[in-house]
Amino acid sequence: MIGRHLATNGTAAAAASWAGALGQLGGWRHGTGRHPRECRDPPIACQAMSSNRLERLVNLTICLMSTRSYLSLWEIGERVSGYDVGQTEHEQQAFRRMFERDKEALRELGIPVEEGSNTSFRDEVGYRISPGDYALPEIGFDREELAALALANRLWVSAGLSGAGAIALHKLEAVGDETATPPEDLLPRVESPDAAFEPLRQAVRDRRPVRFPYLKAGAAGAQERRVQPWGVVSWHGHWYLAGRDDDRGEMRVFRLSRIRGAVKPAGPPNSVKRPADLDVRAEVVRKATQMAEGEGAERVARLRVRPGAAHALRRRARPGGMSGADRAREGDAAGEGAANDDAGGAEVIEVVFTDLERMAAQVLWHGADVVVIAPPDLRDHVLGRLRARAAAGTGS
Amino acid sequence: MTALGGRLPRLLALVPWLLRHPDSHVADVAAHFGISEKQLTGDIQLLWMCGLPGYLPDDLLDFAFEDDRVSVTDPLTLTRPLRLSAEEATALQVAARALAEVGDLAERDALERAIVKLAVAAPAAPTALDLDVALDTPEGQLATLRSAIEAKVAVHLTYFVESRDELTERDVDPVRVISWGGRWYLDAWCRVAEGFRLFRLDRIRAATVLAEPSSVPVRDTGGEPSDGLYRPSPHDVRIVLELPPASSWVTDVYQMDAVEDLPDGWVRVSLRTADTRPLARLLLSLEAPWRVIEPAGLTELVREIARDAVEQYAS
Repeated sequence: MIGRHLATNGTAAAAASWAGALGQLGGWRHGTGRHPRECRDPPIACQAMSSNRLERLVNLTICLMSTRSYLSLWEIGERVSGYDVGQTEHEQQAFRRMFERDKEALRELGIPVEEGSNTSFRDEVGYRISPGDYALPEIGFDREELAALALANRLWVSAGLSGAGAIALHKLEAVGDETATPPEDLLPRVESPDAAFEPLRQAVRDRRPVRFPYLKAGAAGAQERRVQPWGVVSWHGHWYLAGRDDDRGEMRVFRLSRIRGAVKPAGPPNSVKRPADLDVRAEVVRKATQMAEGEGAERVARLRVRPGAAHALRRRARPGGMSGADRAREGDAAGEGAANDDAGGAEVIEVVFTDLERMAAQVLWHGADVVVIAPPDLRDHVLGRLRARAAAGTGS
Repeated sequence: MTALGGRLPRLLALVPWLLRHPDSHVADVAAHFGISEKQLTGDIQLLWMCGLPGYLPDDLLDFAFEDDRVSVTDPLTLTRPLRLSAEEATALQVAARALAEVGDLAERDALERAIVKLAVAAPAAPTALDLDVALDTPEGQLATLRSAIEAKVAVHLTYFVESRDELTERDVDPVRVISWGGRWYLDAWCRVAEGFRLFRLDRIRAATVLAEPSSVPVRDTGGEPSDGLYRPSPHDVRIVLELPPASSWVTDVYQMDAVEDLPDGWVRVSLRTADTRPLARLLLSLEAPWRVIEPAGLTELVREIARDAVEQYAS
């Protein structure tokens, strides 16, 4: 083993600019060959700790791809640069462990390291990588498709997954001649995930039960929950976990921002049972909607609203309940320019609601701009709370 | 993933990529891979040391440089990219699906074609989505706004300012459309406010594309919206409140500077706002008790609003 190959060992020189690096590489390329003496001290830092291993892993990959027959552990140790099979039992053990770790690292990346034997007579295990199994199928993605995927991958910039997506895009680009250039006018971003996101995502992937302290909405303190995680979903700006709550014996949806503390394993990997036909997203949307909107029969509130105010409630108003002025205003707002806020007199609108308390909160937010005409229980509730606040002025 | 896990996929992807994109400018390659030129140099240097057993010059990966351009001259076995890992395929599939479901998007057909191809390219990836993103569908104006951005023209907006319960009129120079936290926003230079503002698409009641060209000043923040969309201003008032468990949902909805658990199960929250009136409206709407720690006038403002409202019922 000669040449530039030895040059990385133990170098910790300062980094150089591209120009310097090019000059150096050019010098090597046009020099008298890649003799160790010439390139023992390249001017570029090689991140000494990890680059030896990276180099070894690249060499191992290339070597195993170039062989048709299975290479034994010892053949690999003798041939692939970066290994030393050693003399003593202790050294040989160290080599075995090093190879095992490397093999796992390659498999984690999806590199198909095959195990097998060259003949049926020998039972010594060997290794190889089939180039056909290694390679991405030759599926061409056109420029539009790559641009669209690059745009989609921007979703993950805030969630730390864009690196994986970017590598995937580079791979897709390398089975065609196009590059992925996303449009600049659109920036989709998923919300930054909470601390629990990464451990839960891994737990879902590994089918591993978890436990975590959870602060239920309205509860005074966090409680430990034991959950078989089924899926992690982003919806309406929040991350949710859906899974089977083992203490309650049924499916529950948890908002990640309410997890107060570490997510810990509560069982071995591959022990989570997930219903085969489960639509995790649909479950999350259903439960989260219940959490947000409450359940109950639909009722109608008649409200007197001040002109030029209560725009959000007007949007929810039933068409039939509006005065002519309201309909004109909504028509305006939907299309042809500014609404006229100077129309005289209050207007009456009708709004459908299910939860009395939530409806009261929406009315109260508008202060003097919205008055409840009916139903009486909503009117009394709102007025009672207004009086209490007006008198006490404090929250208590 | 470890630091190693991030770089090895890149190293292996770089060789076939350069093979299909020969004579690429070094700066372009670095930018495309999202790394510095120094990192790219380091990657190529490392790869340049790698090759087949024997490790004689002809056994090694080889690159050619001309001016500031780079090519692979000997890729050895790395002629084609490694198939997608489950993580990589999931990242693209989930994101593509989320975006394809957004109605009204010009890229929709391309996304749907890409999703089908991804399923073929990475058949090993799980089809049941462990990870899923449901983006909200923007109401109405998305296509109009994107066409204005592309044409580089200004737009007139009728915009509902919810915190003041007001419909406003203004001309803006649109920059881009952002989806964030389940909502869609127009990022634009507002000619009335003379600053960059984010307009929620569901509160844009009307958008009219104008004939005049847009003129967007250079942004000093580097152009990327920061996490969260709140932009502090020196005129902001600091608010400190104490809320009981029943009202702790407020911390999910409003962006807080700090949330502190108190011994009695209450939380103490602090936030900044330019206008205390919307906050007074919020406090009035809360059923459970609350305490204002600062500013002193906020409690009185709530009382005033409540008194005005009570009078409406008397009339």
